[in-house]
Amino acid sequence: MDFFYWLEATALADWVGGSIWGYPIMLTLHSIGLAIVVGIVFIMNLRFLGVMRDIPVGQVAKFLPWAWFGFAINTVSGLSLYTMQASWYMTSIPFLLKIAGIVIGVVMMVLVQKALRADASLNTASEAPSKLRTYAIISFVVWSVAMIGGRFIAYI
Amino acid sequence: MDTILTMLQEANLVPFMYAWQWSWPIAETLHFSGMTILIGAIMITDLRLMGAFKHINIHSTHTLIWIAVIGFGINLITGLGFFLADPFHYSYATSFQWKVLFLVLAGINAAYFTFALQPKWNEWDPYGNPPMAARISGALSLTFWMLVLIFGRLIEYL
Repeated sequence: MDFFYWLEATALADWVGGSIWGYPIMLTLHSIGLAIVVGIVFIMNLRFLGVMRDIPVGQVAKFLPWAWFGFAINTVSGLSLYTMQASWYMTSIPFLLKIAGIVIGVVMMVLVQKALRADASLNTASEAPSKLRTYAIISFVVWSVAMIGGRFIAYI
Repeated sequence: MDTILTMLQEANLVPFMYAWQWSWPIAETLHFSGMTILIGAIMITDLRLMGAFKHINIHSTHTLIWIAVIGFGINLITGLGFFLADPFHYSYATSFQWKVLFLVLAGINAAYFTFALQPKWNEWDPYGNPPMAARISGALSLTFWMLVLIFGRLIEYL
């Protein structure tokens, strides 16, 4: 736990927790990043599961850099919020569930990216292979867990 | 305005928001989910309108617009739940007033796109840049919705 106490004493933690605007600015950035990363990932998942059939499956690969952009915003804003109460977060069940959801969600993003790159025929395909559909379902579940966990950190 | 707000509060239209300790966080979680669906769909649509993703047929954004409408519907219902449960708190929060302003502007812009631009979009090159008016409408949409999100998150602080 010493490491988490050390994090709480850093200058970043002081700014986020001590200044009037540090915390709300980071929270707002965290909401923007959430909307972008989960929003884009959900749209891609819907495509793999058969919605928006007029967009060929492989073409949604171009959306992924935007999802990574949202994820980057949330890594920075999330770590800033985290340093403020690092030791407390480590004992919060919703927080730990959230982190587990994010880790699996990111693994799904990487697997989807690889699957789309590996198969050029997907660029004209209207039906996603079962592998991509499985990733999409897992991704829906784990990002939902991450969002629910994230919201409930404040309540449980 | 206070008369209307008092009436709303006394009408007690959403008693379930306070009757169960988990109503509020569940509604908030749904509000976040609706937001991600709305922003995800609107972002891809707006970026396409602004000239990104030109390999995607512009007419296929039609379904995305419906997905955005579903996300908006979830948030309208949950949002009304919060507002009706505590009308004074929201009405007097500066950030909420800004949020509503940008919500109205986003709505006007969406109506302009739907009724003035979309009826003629069959004439647009499906894999090209849409006309300037559509590109501006896309940029305004993305800006307004992001501001709705930002001021929504800031309600507790501003």
